[in-house]
Amino acid sequence: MTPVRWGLLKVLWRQAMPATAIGALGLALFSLAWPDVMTPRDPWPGLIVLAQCLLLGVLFGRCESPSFAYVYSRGYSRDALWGHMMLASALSVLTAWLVAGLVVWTHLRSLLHDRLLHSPYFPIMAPRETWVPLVWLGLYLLLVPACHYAWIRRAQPTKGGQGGNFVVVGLLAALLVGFDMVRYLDGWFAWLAGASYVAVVACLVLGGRVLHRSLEARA
Amino acid sequence: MSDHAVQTTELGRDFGEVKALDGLSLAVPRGTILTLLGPNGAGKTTLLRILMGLIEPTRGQAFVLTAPSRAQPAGVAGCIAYVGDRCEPANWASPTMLEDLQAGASKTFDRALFRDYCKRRDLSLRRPYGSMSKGQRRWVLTSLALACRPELVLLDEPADGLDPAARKALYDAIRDHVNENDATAIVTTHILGDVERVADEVAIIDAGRLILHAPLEDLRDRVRQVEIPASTSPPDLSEVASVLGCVRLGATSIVWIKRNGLDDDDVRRRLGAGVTIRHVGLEALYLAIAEHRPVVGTSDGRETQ
Repeated sequence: MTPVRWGLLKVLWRQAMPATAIGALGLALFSLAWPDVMTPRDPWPGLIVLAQCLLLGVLFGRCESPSFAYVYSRGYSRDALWGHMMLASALSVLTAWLVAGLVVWTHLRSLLHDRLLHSPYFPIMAPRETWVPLVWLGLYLLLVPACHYAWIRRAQPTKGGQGGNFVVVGLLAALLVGFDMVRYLDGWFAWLAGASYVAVVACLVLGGRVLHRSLEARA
Repeated sequence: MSDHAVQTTELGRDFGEVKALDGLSLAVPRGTILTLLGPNGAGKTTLLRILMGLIEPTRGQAFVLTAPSRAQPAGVAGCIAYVGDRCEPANWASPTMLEDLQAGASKTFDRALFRDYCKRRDLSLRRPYGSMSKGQRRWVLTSLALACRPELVLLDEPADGLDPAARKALYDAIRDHVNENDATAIVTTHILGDVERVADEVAIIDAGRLILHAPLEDLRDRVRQVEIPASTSPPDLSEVASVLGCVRLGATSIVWIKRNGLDDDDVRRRLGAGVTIRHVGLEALYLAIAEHRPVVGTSDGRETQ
């Protein structure tokens, strides 16, 4: 287990800032402005989460940029770099998620829609929304390792460049279909879907870690 | 512990169809400064990147401080410092931020030394990297590398953009670091005056191959260029000299030798008629290799291009 290197984390955190800003602003604005009662099936949060995760993948995965080569040539082991990149991604995601979550949980959203916008749903329906941000967190949990895996796989020196993208898109499509089916099925199938979600996340994290050891900084 | 800080064997690296390195074998003794010379695209930067573990070789092996260049353990990676071409921090990073970044990777990083280096060039520690001049950027990066007190420092054109005074100060700092810490340095440069100033050994590579590797003193005093026409039967050079490198230019083989105690007349007598021997200085030798043409001129100890 690598101890936290604050100097490295600070640089990676700063590097992730554009993605953090997009996620935090996007989710906060959605939470404040969405006129209906929020549900897990609202498309906008999904798109904002996807945009943030894709941007994190792009910002950390520019393996042909001079700044990438710089960080990778400081003497950190590949596992330390990978671990800190995951940590910085987690901090970015948690920041965006907490900002949006606080809007919901502190009843700021409910107050705004009740007092200022005179929405008929609030404050009565506010308790039904409190768990919705948890779904966003679940989506982050899947998309962050998926987007990281895609660029790490693409940066492998001896393998086909686009293979990683296809793997990730296929996995995500299968999971989205699986999630949608869970609504109609109970019992063991729901558990199986949940277990497969955990397995996919774990495989992407572990696979990314292993592949990251042999990627090239090609600036 | 190996006597060599760096050892490569038949090292090769391809970028698509291009062979950036092609069977390069090189051993760099500990405690020396090796300057790596070669024309643009010769493979110098590729070699340093492989040694740093940024890219992997297509063929052959490279050992750095006895560990394979790939999969360097953290303990080894932290003992190597690198200043690379196209390897720069983001523009928003300040020297303080870079200092913290480096200190996390290297247990021997000396913050006071780094700050002293910055002070020497009146560099603010809070100034963003992107707002610095090219020379200031190189100074900061090289200072960070030397402040790690690394066992091995790889410097890819560290003096690029520096004014003459700063360049002298930089090479003095490199020399001091190597002497004080029994460290090893590999420096690439295109400025031959820098080589004379700092090098213990010189290696010249071209088209991914090692053409010549010798101590600077030997290059100054004992290296000769031997031109052997194809019509002449190849002489046995082993008795009179060590072969440092060779190229084939049309109908002539050009061989660079280091004399084994014999003077030029003795060598000429032993190699026989038809063979021309010329004295070559470092600059002439480098230009001969870079431009793929032999040193021309009289064979009495003077050379011209």
